[in-house]
Amino acid sequence: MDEKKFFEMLVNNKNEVSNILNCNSYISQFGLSLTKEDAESLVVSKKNTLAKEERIEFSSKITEKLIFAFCDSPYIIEDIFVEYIGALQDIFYMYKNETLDEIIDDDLIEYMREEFNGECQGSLEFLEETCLDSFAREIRANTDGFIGSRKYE
Amino acid sequence: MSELYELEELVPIVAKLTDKYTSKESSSISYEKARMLMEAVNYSIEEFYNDNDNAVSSVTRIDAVLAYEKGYEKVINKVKKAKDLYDTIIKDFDAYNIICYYDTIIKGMPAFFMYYDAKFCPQDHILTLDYPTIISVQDKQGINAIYDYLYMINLEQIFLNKFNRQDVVKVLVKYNEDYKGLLINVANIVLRNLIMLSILGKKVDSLEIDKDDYQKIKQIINCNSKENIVEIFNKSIKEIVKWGYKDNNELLLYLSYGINDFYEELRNCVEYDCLNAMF
Repeated sequence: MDEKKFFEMLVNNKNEVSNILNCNSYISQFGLSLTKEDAESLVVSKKNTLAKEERIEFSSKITEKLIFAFCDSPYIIEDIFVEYIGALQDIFYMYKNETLDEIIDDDLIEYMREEFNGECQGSLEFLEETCLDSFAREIRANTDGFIGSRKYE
Repeated sequence: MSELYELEELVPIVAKLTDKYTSKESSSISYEKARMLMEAVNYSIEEFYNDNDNAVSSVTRIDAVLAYEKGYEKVINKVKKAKDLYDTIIKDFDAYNIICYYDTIIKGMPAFFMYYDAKFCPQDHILTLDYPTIISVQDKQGINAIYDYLYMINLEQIFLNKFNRQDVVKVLVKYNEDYKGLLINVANIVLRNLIMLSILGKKVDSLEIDKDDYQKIKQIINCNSKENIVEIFNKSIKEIVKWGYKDNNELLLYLSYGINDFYEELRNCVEYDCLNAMF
């Protein structure tokens, strides 16, 4: 069986660019906006991240959720907005894997937002390498599916 | 994937299963999980078509969704059947001090029934099944492997329960003083003694082979062809099963499976004069 073909068939992501552009009506109140090129680059970046992290996405709402969650951050301005959303996508999918899918999308985004605006003070490196790293360790230590977890001790 | 169905027919089943797996709270899954769910669908469909009770389904191709659902039901039923069988085994179970036997049946099996995931990962039987049965279940997966394994363990226990525990332990100690830590099949070792006793014309319920018998065994092996000896062995097993197990045909088939290996080992032992390593 062609596994790659099967994975592609499972994916049902339509209108990704227009969905991202629809966010403009909300984020404009924070002085932010996204062009079609920005939306396309985010979609391409997400696809590359998904391939790199070996994940399949069934619905394309993560980019919008990240846009809504971070658009009011005091550490994000229009010049770096697209770049940051792209980086946050990378971090999000990376930590979906690192937390063994034990945490749901909304909770992970909420945690990322809180830490980014709080302890990290807008630093993506600190968010990725320190806050989320220890967060993922804690999740893994408490889950059933990880050999180092308490259940198997 | 099941060769009976096109990819297009299976994708909606996997997609639906994925929704259930993530509870729609996660918009993506890893390739590893996608593979696991794909295999889960495949396993249930194959269970539907491969089930021996299902004479019609083996020739009739039905809708993929229906085949999956019916297959899943069969998996669940098989788990219940395996649990019933396990409950039967455990009543009189004796591991004869063999650590891996005890661990597999007493510690491992309850954990299997607790953690087996028939919906999302029916192909994973979790346990390593360290205690070796005469017929290996290595080529099987999931509940099929566990059910067949328990089925064989049940036959072995029926076979062994006929003998005095002390005699069985004596045979095992004679086989190897440190037998407790070995990955050995008890039934096979006892059976080999029984076969030789039967051929030597001795009482089979004692299970004891003396050193004086070695010369006779050597003679039998050296004076007969492989075919002859295998035939003699088969005959002995039939007699043993007839003697103590009311012609239990399943037990006969199971015990007969290791005959060729027995012959080869015996041949080697005779050749290198080390029958004491076997009996």
